[in-house]
Amino acid sequence: MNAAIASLDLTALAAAIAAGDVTSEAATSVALDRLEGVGRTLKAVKRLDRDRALDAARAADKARVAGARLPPLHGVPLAHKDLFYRNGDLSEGGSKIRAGFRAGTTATVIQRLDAAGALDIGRLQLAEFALSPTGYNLHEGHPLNPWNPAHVPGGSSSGSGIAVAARCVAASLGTDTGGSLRHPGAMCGVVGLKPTWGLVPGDGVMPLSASLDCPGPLTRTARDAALMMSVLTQRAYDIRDDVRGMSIALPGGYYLETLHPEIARALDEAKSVFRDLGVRLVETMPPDMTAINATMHLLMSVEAATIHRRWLIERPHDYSDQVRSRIEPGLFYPATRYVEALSMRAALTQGWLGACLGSCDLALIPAIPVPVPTIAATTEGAPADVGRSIGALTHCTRGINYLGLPAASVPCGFDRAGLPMAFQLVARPYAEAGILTAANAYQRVTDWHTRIPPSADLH
Amino acid sequence: MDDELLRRIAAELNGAPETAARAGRSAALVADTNTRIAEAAGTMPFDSTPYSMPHWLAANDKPRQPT
Repeated sequence: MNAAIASLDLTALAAAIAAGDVTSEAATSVALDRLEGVGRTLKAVKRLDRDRALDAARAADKARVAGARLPPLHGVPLAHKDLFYRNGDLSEGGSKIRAGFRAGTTATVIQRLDAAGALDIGRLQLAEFALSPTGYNLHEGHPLNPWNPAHVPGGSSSGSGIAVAARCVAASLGTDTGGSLRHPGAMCGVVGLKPTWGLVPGDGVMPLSASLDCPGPLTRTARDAALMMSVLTQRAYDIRDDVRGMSIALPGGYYLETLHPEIARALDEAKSVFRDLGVRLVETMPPDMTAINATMHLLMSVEAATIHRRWLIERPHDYSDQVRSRIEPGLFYPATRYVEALSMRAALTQGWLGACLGSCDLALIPAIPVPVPTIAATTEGAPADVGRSIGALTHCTRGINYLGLPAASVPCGFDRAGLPMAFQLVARPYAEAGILTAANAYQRVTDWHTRIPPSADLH
Repeated sequence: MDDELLRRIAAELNGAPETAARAGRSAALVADTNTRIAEAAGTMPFDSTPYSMPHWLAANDKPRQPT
């Protein structure tokens, strides 16, 4: 029974609890037990509040029995990245510096999940200060990929990706500043949706770079992501089953420059699936990405350095070197360059859309263009080699944050080492429903998202 | 870029002596990024502002437009 509950995706679990087929208490017990076992083994868990979670679950069950009108996530246990504040609770940002910090407010997105009936059962591990595409965390111990613990799970929302893939929780909130939802989505084999910048409220979430940060969901399916988005944004996300007549652009050039042959084959197979579904595929060519990547780096480092300046002065040795090195350049740029980077944003975004999407609905590009690296490859050896391994991961993700566009990673296979591969769908602003419609159609005829990692111990 | 210039920016303008001691590590990246953005900004209309992005996004937010 426990394995059956853990196997349910968000939509199915919410329906089962609403129907009384599964009690919230049973679902919450399973989630807590799995996070304590599998989750902690994979270093995905920061803290759990068992008593509070089970009290809330019993109250949810009583409300259902009493005939209360049930909100969409009634009694569903969820856990989130340790950046999301709840008033009075610890929120430590994966860091040594914020150890013991208690939030004085509750994030709007947490309030919206509360109002939707979801249970908030704990906080999950992340890269230190949300600043690594691998999930790197020197202070807390490196989180482990659920498909192979020698490999990184992707970050910075590493615990969220692991917990969803390993069937500990059905969905989890993360944040994405340069790919931090799409990286763990791609590397753990789940859907990571970065919404349009500003669409999902970011108040009550520890910032990294306000111009780039996007809170969003990690789920197993596109349909689950739509359910989460409807709660997070208070808008309807109705996704269609039929994608005939939809058009997807296939940008070449920059997006293929570093593409590994194994990933290329998986993307080609995904394109064939879309073609068979009646989608029109159109080859396009991206613009020069030099300015987009430079402005993204500048905004991220300047805004991060502004937040971290006091700690860089008072507690520089409490950062890992890898993280501190990513923040420090932000102290050196002229303010005029920062304003220029913001001022060019709309024009560069429109240029990118015109070149990459043209008249199409979506663009399909790699999520990460290389196989999931080992922890050793991203932490040991010559700094230049480590830097190259890490930098390769963000080649296709970081620019999208500067452009402010919605994008999702969607699992599309496994490489020879058994690690997940994924494509990325990008759309115009506020076209998340289009992304999720295409991803849902793809998942209806493929089964990558139903595969369960060995570490989940559900077989 | 002159490492000494960055060292002084970190130490004197930001008051971050530990960062100042490591300024040389950032020099190549900062110089390259600064140059690339300065060149790209040279093609911007003179009245470009940071508000253009929020305005453009709002104009594209169809669910919020009056029907």
